[in-house]
Amino acid sequence: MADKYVASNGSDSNDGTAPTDEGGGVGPWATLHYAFNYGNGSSLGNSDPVVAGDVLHLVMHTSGASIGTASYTDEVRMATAGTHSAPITIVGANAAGDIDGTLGVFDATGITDVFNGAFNVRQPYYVFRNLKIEGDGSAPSAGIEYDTWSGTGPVAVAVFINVHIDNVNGDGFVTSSSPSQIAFINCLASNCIGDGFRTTNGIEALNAGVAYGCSAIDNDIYGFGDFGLTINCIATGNNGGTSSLAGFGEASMIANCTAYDNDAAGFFFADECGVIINSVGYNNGNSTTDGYGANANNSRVNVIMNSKLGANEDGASNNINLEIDVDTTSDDPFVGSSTGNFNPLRGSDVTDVAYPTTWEELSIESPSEIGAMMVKKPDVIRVG
Amino acid sequence: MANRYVRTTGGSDANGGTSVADGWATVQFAVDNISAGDTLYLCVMGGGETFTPSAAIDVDAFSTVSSAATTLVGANSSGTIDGTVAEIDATSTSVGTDAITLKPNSPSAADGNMIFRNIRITNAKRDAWRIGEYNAGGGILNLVGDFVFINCHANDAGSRGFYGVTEDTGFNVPWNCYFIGCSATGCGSDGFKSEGIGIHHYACWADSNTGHGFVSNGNEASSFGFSGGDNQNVANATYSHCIASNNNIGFQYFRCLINCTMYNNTDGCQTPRAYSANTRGQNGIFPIINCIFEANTTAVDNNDNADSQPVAMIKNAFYNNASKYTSTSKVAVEIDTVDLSASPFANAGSDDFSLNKTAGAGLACHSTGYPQTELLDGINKINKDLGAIATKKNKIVISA
Repeated sequence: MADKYVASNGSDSNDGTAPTDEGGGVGPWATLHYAFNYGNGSSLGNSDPVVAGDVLHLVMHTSGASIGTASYTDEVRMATAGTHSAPITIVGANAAGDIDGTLGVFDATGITDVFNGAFNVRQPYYVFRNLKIEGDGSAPSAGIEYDTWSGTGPVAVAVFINVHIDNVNGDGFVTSSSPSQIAFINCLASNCIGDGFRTTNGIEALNAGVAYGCSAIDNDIYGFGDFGLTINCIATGNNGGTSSLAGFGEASMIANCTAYDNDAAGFFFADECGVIINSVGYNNGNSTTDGYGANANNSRVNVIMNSKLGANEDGASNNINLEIDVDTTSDDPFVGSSTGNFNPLRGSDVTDVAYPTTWEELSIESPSEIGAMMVKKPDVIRVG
Repeated sequence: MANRYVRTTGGSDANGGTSVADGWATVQFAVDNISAGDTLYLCVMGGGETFTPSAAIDVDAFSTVSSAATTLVGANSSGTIDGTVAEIDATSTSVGTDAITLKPNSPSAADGNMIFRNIRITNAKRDAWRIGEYNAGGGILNLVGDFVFINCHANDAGSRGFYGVTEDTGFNVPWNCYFIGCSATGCGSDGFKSEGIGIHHYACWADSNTGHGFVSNGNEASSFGFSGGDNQNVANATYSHCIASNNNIGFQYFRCLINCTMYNNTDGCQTPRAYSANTRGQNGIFPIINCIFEANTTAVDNNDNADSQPVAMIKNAFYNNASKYTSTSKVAVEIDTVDLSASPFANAGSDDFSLNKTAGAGLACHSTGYPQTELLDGINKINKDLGAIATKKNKIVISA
């Protein structure tokens, strides 16, 4: 139950304490590997590593700083379990070590192990908050990966709050375990070579992932996949790869979401029943994949209501069982979609239909905690 | 893929059901004579008219897999879907019977594919909507689901309003149910209860039920070893933009609560326990985001049991709850909690959960949590189906 610290100017010879009164072995560590006592395939001899109940602060000692990997080339392996009353928290902090919304930046380009993500999480009850993981397109092979390699026991139990992953050579957030008791709040996955957010399961009723106020931007495959609930999220610029899905898909309930300018379907149900409500699928599709606003490639029940599906390459929708109040006109519903402003254009149809999370509110460039949720007009909840 | 019609008055089961004029008289006869993919219009022929079955209505004719969903929908006297809610008054049914039961005829992994829309059930003697019975024997795991309920309601049921039941003898597990703009009020037990998996609620309201407002209890399902022991039943019921008011526990067990209001319940909500037979089951950190808690005895009961699971509290508002948590150690993270100085609601005692303009109260909620009740006017002009969600500016009204 301790606060521990890793700093962009720390040393693994230190004792992992706060960035005050440093010197003589006192002060923050330098690497996450050392904090979790695993690197380059073996234990690192840290006698006081992160354990259940600890809060690990990623201290940014100056603007533009980041935590590096030093000589370690494999993943940050998080193999210590939290508990239901003592989770493990990993959180960004300012130069004083305080939690103030500062993103703790992890430069993961030194991780050349192609089999694991930057963070390879093997145990439950983790809280990730105010973090950014940066790759260079070739490394690491994923951002944060939950897996079951630890064998039996509970898995994939975590919340992610204001966590950003950029330019990794695979998926941004991915769980290879089942079930995936994961919640993403105000997170961002961008420029990833794989999917933005994916919670693997395959049976929609068992999809327990929740995403709220998240964005998937310019990823090479799809934005959000296999979630139980995605709400107030944006998927834009995702390529789709060879998939018929690019924005949101293989999910159950999708509400208040925007899928814009993805290269395949904005919303896609592969073998799932599901509902889309209060959402916008606009300007999706390209010449090589099924570019519907909403596409259901199955015989299960699918409903879309109170939504706008306009200007999609292959049509508004395909094989949806029931559509209630779906606007299929091609007018641009956003204040400035070309500049990434997804605020609903006042007076347009979309103000009578859907209210997606907006780009401005995501505060991606200058993130503060829960930036995505700071809606300017929180009373505008479009249910009707 | 045909349209079929049943009417509150003036119909005959000797008719063909092919038009309003040719409409049937009883809902049971109608559902027995539609095919998968059909739409059955429940036509309200005059003001105040209801369907008055004398026995439980068994809906068991639907297909296991259909390329087109089978729909039951309320309609006006012209057979038009205009937001008219067809009421089925179960007063004349026998003691102990459910009003509507949704049963498959054969085991399947994808039963259902049904949509229920603009239908209200009143005065059920037991459960109003009973989801997931199995008609033909037992012993085979049977997933009953793929149901969507839009603007459907249960008022004054003797037991539960909506009950997705896991039936021990039939090995039924309800799954994939969606409730949008639905309500359950004045029921003798729980408003919404599911023992299944993949149950999602959006803009629903449970008020003044003797039991809990919303319950998602998958222990029974997990006891069948569902999905190789990886059950996560409880944990996979989501709630967004919902209200639980004046119940015992507002939300008992949940995957997440987002933009929900909990008012005057014994517990506003209660987190799941780890399921003892399977540690992979219901473990989780359960997010509660943008919610408002007022006048509950305990706002968040996260320690009902030693195995009760923790919450992640983000941007929630509290007022006048006797206690906030039952365990502070089971709050995995807490960000931007607001303690209000007055009730944020216009008149919660009269079911008006719109936010007031009082500093430190309703205004404070504008920058933190906000409930589903903050709806704009004009919704009826946009979507008459959603009468239950809002019928006038900033006020939730259960449609009369």
